[in-house]
Amino acid sequence: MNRYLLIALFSFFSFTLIAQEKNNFQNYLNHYKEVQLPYEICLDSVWSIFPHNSISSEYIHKYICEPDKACDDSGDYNYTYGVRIKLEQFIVLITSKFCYDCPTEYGLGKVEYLLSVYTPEGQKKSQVIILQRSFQHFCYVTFENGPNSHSLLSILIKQGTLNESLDKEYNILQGILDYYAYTIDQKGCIRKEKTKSRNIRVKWGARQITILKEWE
Amino acid sequence: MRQLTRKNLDELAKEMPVISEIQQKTFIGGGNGTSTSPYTAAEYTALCASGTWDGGYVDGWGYVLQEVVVTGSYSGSENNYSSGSNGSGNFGFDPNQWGGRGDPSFWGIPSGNVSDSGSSDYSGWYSYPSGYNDGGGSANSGGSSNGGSSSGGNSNGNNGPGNLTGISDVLSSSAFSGYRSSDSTGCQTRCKEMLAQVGVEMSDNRIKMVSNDGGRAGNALSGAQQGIDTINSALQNGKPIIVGVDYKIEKYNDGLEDHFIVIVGRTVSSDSSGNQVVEYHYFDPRTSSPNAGTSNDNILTLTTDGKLIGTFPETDLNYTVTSVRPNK
Repeated sequence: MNRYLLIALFSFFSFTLIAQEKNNFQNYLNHYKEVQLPYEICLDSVWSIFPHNSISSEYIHKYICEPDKACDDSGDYNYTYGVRIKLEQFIVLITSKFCYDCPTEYGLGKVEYLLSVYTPEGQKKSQVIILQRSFQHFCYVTFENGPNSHSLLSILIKQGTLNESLDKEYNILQGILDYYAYTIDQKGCIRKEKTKSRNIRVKWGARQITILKEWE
Repeated sequence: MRQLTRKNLDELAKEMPVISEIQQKTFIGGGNGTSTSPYTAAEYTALCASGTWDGGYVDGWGYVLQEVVVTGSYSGSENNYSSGSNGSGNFGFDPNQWGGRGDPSFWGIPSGNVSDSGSSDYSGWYSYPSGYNDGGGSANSGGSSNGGSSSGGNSNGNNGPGNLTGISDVLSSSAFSGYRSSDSTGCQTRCKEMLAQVGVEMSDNRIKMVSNDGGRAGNALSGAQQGIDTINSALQNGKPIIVGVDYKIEKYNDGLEDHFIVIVGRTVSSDSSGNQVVEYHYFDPRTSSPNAGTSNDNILTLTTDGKLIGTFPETDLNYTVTSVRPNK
């Protein structure tokens, strides 16, 4: 009799904990804006298109940082909620991580954009940095439905990295534009492929980067 | 010989212009310096030359002061240009200058402001010994070195918030010293380099503006107004000034100051409710890009509770001024 009672109590508490966890994850998800495919983000004139809603330390540790690994959770970083894309079996989140004082070639500060794949219950399947934005970096991204049944989501990225100043007076810089194609497979794994790399020349205006020339 | 009669004169008056008694005095003199009986220009010159000019109306000029002392500096240059007493008090000489004679703003009533438009930029103060100016106002020509971040026709009153007016940038964007990857933490050094371009040096003094609230800027301290006054005073003297800002929780320096920027200009306007809005333009060495570093959108706003806050637009970082670093 006692054994049945213990099993019942254990089952009840387990169920309660699972429900609470799912509820907690749902609360976390609710901060992200759900978007439909196709969806584009242009980060050439701005560093972020997301609202400035910071993610709490609790959520950072629970859903973003890896367990038992170093976590950039000091005051030097600010994580903000971005967008979510609902797939058949998974939920994809784009989160921004602003490192206030990370040095780059042309200024302080860098925003990294994290692509994270979760189960509906909140279990993280995979996570990578897909974009960078700073005084040295700019990027464009398009989210589309996967091209075949093995690929649930296709993410096409153009990542610009400037590394040479040609004309300081007119702010003409040169660099590389890397093309990437990310896919999320049916297991929730993120696969990355660099499709091509081109040279670019840009004009760097106030809050605007214009590609003047792109060549092989 | 024909006899001249009153009838002859009346007939003559129909054909020839008749000048008034006041106009006659402008030719022959004899006025007493009042508005109804002004001195002639020749009398004014003679009185000035003899050192007995005590002020008064001069025909065609309006009221001319006894003496005017002008002290000013040319912004954007390390050189100060000062003029002592000019002895002639001829500020009313050209009606088209300084707002023109009779213009209350010229006479410093009530705020002592003067204004003009043009391309030069003067900051300083003007003293009117005969009591027409009560606030030590200053003149600042319109225009802006960076394309108009400040209101045109700027004039500076004293530091009281009710008397503040705009000051065009006192530092040209060409003096911007931006981020260097070889010295990524050298923002204060870059700021000092910008000041050095106009012969200004930061002192070791520090005026704290806000309390430390766990590594972030808290409330304005009682000495915050002194910091604001120091900024205003520097700008009015044509000098840029360095301030420290907070934008994140930090554990170095004083546990609050994260970064340094240079305040270069001031804009004063009104919001929709008619309240005065005081904003400061700053140069930011966070970036090597002069466009972003000197952007007209780099603005700090004076809040009603005495804090200076703003956003660095390129990155959307929220700045709060934590300290003012007075110039030497």
